Amino acid sequence: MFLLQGTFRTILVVSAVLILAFVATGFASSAYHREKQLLGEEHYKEGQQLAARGETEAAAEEYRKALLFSPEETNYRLSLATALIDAGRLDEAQSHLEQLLQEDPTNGLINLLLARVALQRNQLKMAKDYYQRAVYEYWPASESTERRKARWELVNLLSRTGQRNAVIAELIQLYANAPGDQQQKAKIGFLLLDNGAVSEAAQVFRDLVKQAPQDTMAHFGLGQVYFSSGDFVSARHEFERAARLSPHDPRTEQALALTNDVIDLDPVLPSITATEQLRRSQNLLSRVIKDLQACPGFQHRLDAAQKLLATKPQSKEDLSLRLHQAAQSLWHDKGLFCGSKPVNDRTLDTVLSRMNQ
Amino acid sequence: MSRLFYGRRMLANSLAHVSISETQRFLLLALLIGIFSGLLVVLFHISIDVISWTSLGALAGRFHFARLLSPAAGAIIAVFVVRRIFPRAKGSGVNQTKIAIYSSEGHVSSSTIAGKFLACAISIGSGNSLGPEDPSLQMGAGVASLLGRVFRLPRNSMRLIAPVGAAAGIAAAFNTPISGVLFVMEEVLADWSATAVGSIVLAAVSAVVTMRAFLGNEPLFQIPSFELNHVSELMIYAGVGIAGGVLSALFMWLVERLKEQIHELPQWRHYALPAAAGFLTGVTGLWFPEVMGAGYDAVNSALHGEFVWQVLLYLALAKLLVTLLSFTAGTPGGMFAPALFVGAMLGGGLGGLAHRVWPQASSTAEAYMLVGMGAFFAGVFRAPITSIFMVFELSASYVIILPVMIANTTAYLLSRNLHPTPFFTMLAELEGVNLPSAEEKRNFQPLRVEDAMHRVSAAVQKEPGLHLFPDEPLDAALRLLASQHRIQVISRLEPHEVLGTLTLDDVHQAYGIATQEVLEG
Repeated sequence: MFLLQGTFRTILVVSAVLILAFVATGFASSAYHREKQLLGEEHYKEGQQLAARGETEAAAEEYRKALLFSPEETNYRLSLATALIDAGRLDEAQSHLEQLLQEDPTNGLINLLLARVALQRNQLKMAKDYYQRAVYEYWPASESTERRKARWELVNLLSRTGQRNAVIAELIQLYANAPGDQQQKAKIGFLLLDNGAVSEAAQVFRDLVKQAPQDTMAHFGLGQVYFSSGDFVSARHEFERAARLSPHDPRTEQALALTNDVIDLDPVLPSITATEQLRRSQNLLSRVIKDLQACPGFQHRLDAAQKLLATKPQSKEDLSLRLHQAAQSLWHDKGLFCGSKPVNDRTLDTVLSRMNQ
Repeated sequence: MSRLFYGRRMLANSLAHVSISETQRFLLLALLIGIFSGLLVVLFHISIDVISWTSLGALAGRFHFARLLSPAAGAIIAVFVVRRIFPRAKGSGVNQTKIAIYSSEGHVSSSTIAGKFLACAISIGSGNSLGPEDPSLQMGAGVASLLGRVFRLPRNSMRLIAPVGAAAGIAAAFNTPISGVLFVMEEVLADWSATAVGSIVLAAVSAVVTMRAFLGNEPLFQIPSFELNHVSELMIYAGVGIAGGVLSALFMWLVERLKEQIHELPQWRHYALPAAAGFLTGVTGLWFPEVMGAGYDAVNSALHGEFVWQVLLYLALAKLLVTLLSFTAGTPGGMFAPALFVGAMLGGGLGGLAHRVWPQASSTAEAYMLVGMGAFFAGVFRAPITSIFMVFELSASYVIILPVMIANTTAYLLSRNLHPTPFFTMLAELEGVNLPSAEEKRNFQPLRVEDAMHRVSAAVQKEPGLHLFPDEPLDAALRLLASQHRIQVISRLEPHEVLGTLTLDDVHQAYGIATQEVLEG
């Protein structure tokens, strides 16, 4: 009965008090939130300055204070996590990042940071998962470079763990989404080449040569592609172009010299005479014998090879074939006697590898 | 003027014709209590933060000694406010609310609200190791009592309305409506009547909604994801429960001993002891600033792995010590927040140690913090259901339920064994007040009809008149025996089957035996 027994005035007074209380609390709370936000921003800015100076521990402390005032600010927590990663406090960083991930599981940056934490902890499988999410989840349009950065980090991780096919797949994606940056495209091309994707690398460098015919790197890369595929003449052609564009580039000079040596030594080069083929085959075998001289237990085979070298030719073609077959066989078995001896004669190695293909 | 008068009359008439039941009116008032309590808790929270920013933030930034002296100064001012301006605001909020319910028909004076608000905001804001939940509970009860008086509630309703406000106050302070309701049910009322539950739930929900409308939806703690690594991990959680139970019993024992000693001291103790406790808090705060104030920020930081397990254990002990000093010295403020802090750090410390020794099978320290929180809370306040739901509400994780149930029940049983008197009952006894203990009420086994009746050996014909069932309370039988000197007891399953008979003598004899047993016990 009390609500109705209470006079109309009581209800009116209580309603008025309630409205007043709401207004007063509203004013107080908005002032309170404003002040909290200001204090949070102050600490956040201080943290950013400290982080820029490389004082990560102090920066983390400031970010933590900022977060006390504005716990809902994702940026503060992200900055704190980044500072903690830089300071090597991975447990804390992970905890903050996991909380952020709970709130926003499709955020690319959070996944990227978690991948970095996992990588620092050598949890490679977890790092790969987070990197993949970082690459394929959401990034704001303004941060598209961050997605590429994440993909590059993923490529590095995949290379480290020897997952060549996955590396090639990511590199192709990187190339497909690469901006007009020639250097980055060339980097992709070289990595494709290193991972055995010769035709994909050839495509990259051909595109680059087409887009920028005066680009040394493009010609050099294309030369490397030809060299890898055993087309030494085309490789020499591209290296010469690169050398003309950058005359004193030591890398190009070395590649050109090697290619010239290979061409001079190659006994199966098309359009050479039978006499030239025999000379090259003899040269090839004698270089193999010289290279393997120091290996123990090889002597009887090297002696047989010396005998073959001294043989008078009845048919130049036949002898040439026997000579370079002997050279190939010795080179093939060198691991048995010489162990993992490093290759001294790169020209010889290139020619014989090419002949074995 | 006449138009306005006419309008008022119309409204009054239409209100008079609105037909709503007593229960509905009570629920409406509960809603109002929840909103007012929520607003009050928002202002209380803001006041604590503003005082804290000034005394421990801006001031401490300029003067290094401010951090050292702030708690002592705050304690002196808070005690002055309570002793000189608002003397009714002294004492534990839970116990004062219980006193209001059981001995002054739910009356909590308005000066109590003002006194609690002012004194506790100053003491907690200035860095004393106490929490805002217990004062919020009493302020909520005060708001309810005030509204009850404004609406001229009848005496029996006034007694019911105070717990409604208490639930609203504590729910808003913790930002956990279920726990707020359960705590009041478990500790303050020990009663689960439908009207009480309905209005308490409504008040708690409206208070939390109001609080969230102004302070945002951020939970009390930013909880990282929780998972149970291995079933054997439950043993570690039981270990956390054991540690929580032992430490909570030790804490209560220390509070009891210190309070007894302090009572012997002369009058100067009222100011000197809070000042000394505040100063020691300030000194501790030089090394462990996390122990100052309620400590929720530190728990949040710890939940994100800021501290190694050794530091967590140091923090638990440091907080336990400064809270013990501040609380026993009589500095205004509550015990809930410090209890959660100590429990969290203890659980985290032990969990961190377990993770170091047994990394494959155990989770990181953070997972144990929540469980430790619940275990220590259950051990001190003897509210096991509240403690379980509180952790559940805070973590929003079903996975945590099992570890929490194991740890909290272990802590609760162990603490009850080591220190049988519950915390609030102990405080009441120390203050010379005899309050019904909710825990004792729960454990009390009332005599039933079957305990007193004479069983019949052969089949007996059912007589007309009143009958009883064997499981009915003996008190109910007494009322019936006023009109009928012998009552037959019948089976619930076979209503024609007479199981026994009951007379007034049987009842007296049963009560006599019960009394004798209690005396012997």
